[in-house]
Amino acid sequence: MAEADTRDLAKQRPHHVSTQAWVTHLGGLRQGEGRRVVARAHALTGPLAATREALVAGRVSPEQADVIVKSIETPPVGEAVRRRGERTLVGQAGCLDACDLGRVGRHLVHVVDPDGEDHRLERQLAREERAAHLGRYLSIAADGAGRVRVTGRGCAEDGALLKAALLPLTAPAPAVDDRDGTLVPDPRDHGARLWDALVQTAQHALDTDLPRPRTAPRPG
Amino acid sequence: MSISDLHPQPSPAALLADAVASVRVAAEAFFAAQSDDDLVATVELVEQARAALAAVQAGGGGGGRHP
Repeated sequence: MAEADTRDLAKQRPHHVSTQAWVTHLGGLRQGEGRRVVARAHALTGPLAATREALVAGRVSPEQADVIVKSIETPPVGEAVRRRGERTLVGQAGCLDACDLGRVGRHLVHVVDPDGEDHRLERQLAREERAAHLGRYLSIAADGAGRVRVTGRGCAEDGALLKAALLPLTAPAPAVDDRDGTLVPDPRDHGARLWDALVQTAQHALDTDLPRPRTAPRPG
Repeated sequence: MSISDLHPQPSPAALLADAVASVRVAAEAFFAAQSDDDLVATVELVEQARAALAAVQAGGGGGGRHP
């Protein structure tokens, strides 16, 4: 399979654009299965010789081999560590099913690359923030009854900035009763105080002589 | 009396043992030295073997209930 993929033989067969598509069609597999089979073939004929040997001998099942391939190719570690990890997983394959072997593999990945999961989550967060930034919008629309509706969406970072600017201005402001001079609790609820803070901030911006920074778009 | 009566078929286990041995020999072949046609035929036959083995795993002809 690996050699057939290297030579790109699938394109000699009609209607197949890749080895993965060819194998999927040939074996009547589910979509995506062909890719897994070809990835396994390359891994077993390349770096994972011990897994291949165990597979030929019947000591490792194809499902367990997939688990080993996935576990070993994940962490960014040196060849020696990979070989050691592979040997460990092949040794465990005799007494663990593919699910439990997968757990061992994930634990192994965490042991040899404890920061890997954090980096993956960081990358995911960065992707989500980029998507949120790209989808940002703010709308101030009159509703025809003398009011406006403000709606919007943005990334968490911008939201935190808005809160940092507005929340200090939302503290309840008790008033003094003109009749007896007692303090009257602020009648505004939190939403009203937040709105007032937004308007107050906008007014302050207009009243301030400081030049406003240009709003250059951040790279998406 | 037919020849098959004199030479009973080997058991499924014996047949599979031979097949597994043959497959293991095939697994050790130097595939880089094979022709394109041989490689294509190998890939296609592997899928046929996989399907046939699944049938064996499921049980023999006739639902496996006949002796």
